[in-house]
This record gives sequence, C-alpha cells and structure tokens, in this order.
Amino acid sequence: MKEILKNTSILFLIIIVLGIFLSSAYNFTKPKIEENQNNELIKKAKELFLSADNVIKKNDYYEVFSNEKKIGYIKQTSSLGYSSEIKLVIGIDLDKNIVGVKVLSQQETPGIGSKIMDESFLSKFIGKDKNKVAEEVDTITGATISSRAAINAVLISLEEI
Amino acid sequence: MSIVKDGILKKNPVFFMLLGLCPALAVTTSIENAIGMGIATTFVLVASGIIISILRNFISEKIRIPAFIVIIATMVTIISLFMEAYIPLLYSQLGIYVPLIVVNCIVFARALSFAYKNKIIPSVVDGLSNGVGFTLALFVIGSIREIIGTGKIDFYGIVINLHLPAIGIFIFPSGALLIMGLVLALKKHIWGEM
Repeated sequence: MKEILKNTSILFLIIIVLGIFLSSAYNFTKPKIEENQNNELIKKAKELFLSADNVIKKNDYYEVFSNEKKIGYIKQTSSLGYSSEIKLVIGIDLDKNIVGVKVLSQQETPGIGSKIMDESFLSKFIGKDKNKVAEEVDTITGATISSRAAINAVLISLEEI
Repeated sequence: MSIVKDGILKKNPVFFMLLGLCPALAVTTSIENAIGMGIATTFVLVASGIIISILRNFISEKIRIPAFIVIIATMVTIISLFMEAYIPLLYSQLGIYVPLIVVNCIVFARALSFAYKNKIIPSVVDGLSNGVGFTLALFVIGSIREIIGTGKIDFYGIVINLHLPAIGIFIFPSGALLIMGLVLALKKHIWGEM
C-alpha cells in the first residue's frame, strides 16, 4: 500500500513538472510560430501580387492591399489528396480571376503526387475564372487524385469569395 | 570512448541493432530529410538522457515505463515546438515524423538500457553518439535513395544534377526496404558477423 502511494505520487510529480515545462515552452514559442505563419502568408501574397504590402484577414480569406488600395484576395485552403492534406494558397484578383496558386505544404508521393508543385501544373490556373478552371485545367497523368484534389480546392475557394 | 564507438559504429542503432527502422525507412527519401530527422532525434536522445539519468534514483522499476514515456513525449513536443518556431522549413518537411520520435525505439532503448543505469555525463555522451550513429545511418540510406531515385541531389536549395536516370521505385517505401537490405548485406560482407 505504501509503495503504490509512493510510486503514484512520484509519477504524478514528474508529470506535473514536465507539464509546467511543456506549457512554458508552448507559450514561449507561440508568438514566434504565429509570426512565422503570418510571414509565410505575406511572403506568398508578395509572390502572387507583386505590389502587395499588407494583408488583412476577413472572414476566412485575406484581402491584399497595395498602398492602402485593395488589389485582390488570397485564400488559404486545403483538401485531401492521395496521402496527405494538400494546403494551397490561392491569389484571386478583384474580377475573380486567378492570379496564381501556390502549394503551402503537401506530403504526396514524392516524384508522383508531388508533381502538383510543378510550375507547369500550377501555371495552368493563372488568369482563369471558375468556369475556365473547371473546363480547361486537366489533372496530371499518374497523379490524378493529388491534382484533382488541388483543382477542387481551387474551385471551392473561388465560390467562397 | 567505447560509448562513442559503440553508438556510432559497433552498435549503430539502425545498422547493427536494427532499431528505429520506421523513421529510417519513412523519412529517408532525401538527404535533407534524413539529416533533419537525425538531428531532431539526437536532441531528444540527449535531452531525455539527461532527465532520466538525473531522476533515475527516484523512479522505481515499477513506474519506469510510464515515467520514461512521459519524459520522452514531453521532450519531443518541446523540440517540435521549437522547430516550428525557429526552423519552420525543416518542420514542414518532416511533418508527421517529428511527433513519431516519441515511439522511436532507439530513444526508449537508450533510456532503459543506458540512461537509467548511468550518470549524466555518460548518458549525454551515449545519447549524442547514438544520435550521430542514427543520423549517419539515415544519411547513408537517404543519399543512396535520393541519388538513385531522383537522379540529383537537392540539399537546401543547392541542387547538384547528376544526370542519372531517375528510378522512381527507390523513392517509395519498397525502395527503402531494398536499399536497407542491400546496405545490411554489404555491411555483413565487409565486417562479417558481429
């Protein structure tokens, strides 16, 4: 009886102390992680809109500004590919045409599904509206599921803005 | 000295003990992933080694397993938080495999068989040398797979195109098993039965 109490309290103590460590590490890194995510977004915005200098969150998309003037939207979206969640950033201008599509993260099969990151695929979206994307952007041979997921994600985001 | 030699060469966790094969097969699709995973695991090995060797007199045999799991899981989570904050590029590449260091049996094996029985300094040395050994093993498999599988080397933006034909299968898990088997066979051929 005494031993079980001793063991339990030692284990409890270890967990409490480590829990404190963990929560302080979380609080310590949280602002930096959020800053990273935001920086990543602004960097992507600048790649999509050359003159972009600010990004403001609105509902579940972001408005992109250049010299205080609204020049378009970016939307972060994700969809389930073949083996992972594909995260995309889509730039859309005020006329709801696509300015560009960037892949934020994906873990599709390297060499096959990862072709969705190729410029030759992503450039097909540029300048197209919703109907044109549905009609003219083809999936990649051999990577149908991954590329279909990316196309669907783009179509859904175009509807949401 | 013998600890270092054991960890890196004589008892290399991957090639001689055949431990930690899951990450060794899963993340070795490229050299940069292999090295990133190796470094992250080394940190966990050292950090958990320090804590376990400090606490080893308080943790009785009966609760050592849950205690070690909690310690290792905490270290892994802290390291993955810091990675996400300061090396986001590596974090996004390793993705799911970072939390999986918790169940990497090398970390657990070193905790049970070394850190639990030794003082802090030897435990740090042991963790470090096993980590280096693990990194080395991942680097060997990763570089072979990247070179044969993609025909080029891409190390943090430095691309060396070797103009070799890319044999896609070596990027897949089945290719990892093939390379692993070949490396083990080669090892046995050179050094014989250990």
